[in-house]
Amino acid sequence: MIYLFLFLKLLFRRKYLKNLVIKATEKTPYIDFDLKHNILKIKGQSYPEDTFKFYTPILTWLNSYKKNLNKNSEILVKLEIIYFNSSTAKVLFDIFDMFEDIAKTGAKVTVSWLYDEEDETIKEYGEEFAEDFIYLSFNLVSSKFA
Amino acid sequence: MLENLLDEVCDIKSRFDSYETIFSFNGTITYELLTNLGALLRQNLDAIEKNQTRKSKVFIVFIEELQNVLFYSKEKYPKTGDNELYFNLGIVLVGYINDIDKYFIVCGNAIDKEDVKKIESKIESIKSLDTEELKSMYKQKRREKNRDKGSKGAGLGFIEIARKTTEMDYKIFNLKDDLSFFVFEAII
Repeated sequence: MIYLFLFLKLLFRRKYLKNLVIKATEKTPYIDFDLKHNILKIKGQSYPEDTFKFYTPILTWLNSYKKNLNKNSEILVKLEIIYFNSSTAKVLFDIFDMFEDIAKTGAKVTVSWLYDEEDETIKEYGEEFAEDFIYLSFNLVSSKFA
Repeated sequence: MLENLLDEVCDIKSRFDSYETIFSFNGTITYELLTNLGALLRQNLDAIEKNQTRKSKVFIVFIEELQNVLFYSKEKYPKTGDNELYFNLGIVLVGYINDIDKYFIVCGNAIDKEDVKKIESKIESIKSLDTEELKSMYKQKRREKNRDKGSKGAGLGFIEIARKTTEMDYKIFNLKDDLSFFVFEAII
């Protein structure tokens, strides 16, 4: 009986966790978390007026996602960021930390960190995140930003 | 009282011009203004700066500094009365001095007198660190679960600024009874 209950609860949760899509603004990035393909994209700029308020629903979503994930999943986290402020850096750390936990339990998590080939600052941020999360496989990808 | 206003505005303009100021603003600051000044700064940088990394550094420091003004300014407008709607007062100046090839980003805002020592020691300790020490302090702060009390950000702002600038300096002046004026300069 208890197993049936847990099974239904899991099913229910999975069913009701929908893809997360948030449109970009000048101060906040485009968010596209695709459950089916396990591809999570963050793109644009991030310096919200209230960083923690903006990212709380995103972190909540990721928490549910983490709970319902198959252990052998392959996840791609794709970041294409032009600029983020220091409080966003903190939130990105917390997001990577969540994926580090996921990766420790057996899932394969690849982080694709896109940076403008002419912008050393974004490349450096990527390198420094890569140093801190040894379970995540970071790919720093140089590209030509518009 | 108003008879000297025009002369003084001309005086302020010529003083700011002598520092090759790109723009300056003194008064009520909103997040909207921060965003718009940021966009203006980027446009100006597109015209004068070819190095994308340096452009980014100027923009990064500008936003961190102006966010501090916006979050921590203790001087409000309207200055008196029990208004529901009020604004934070602050000052910002950005310039590029061609002869020495240096950008400056100066911001200022009022702080509580009782916070003067705290701010001084925070900046002095950051100023004393070398590149590697700054990096490890940045990483340590970024990792901390508990955010600074009284900090609206991640407590990373000044460390981030220090990592992106070649020099930084500040002064604190007496403003009135319980307020001091904190003015901060970053050079890139």
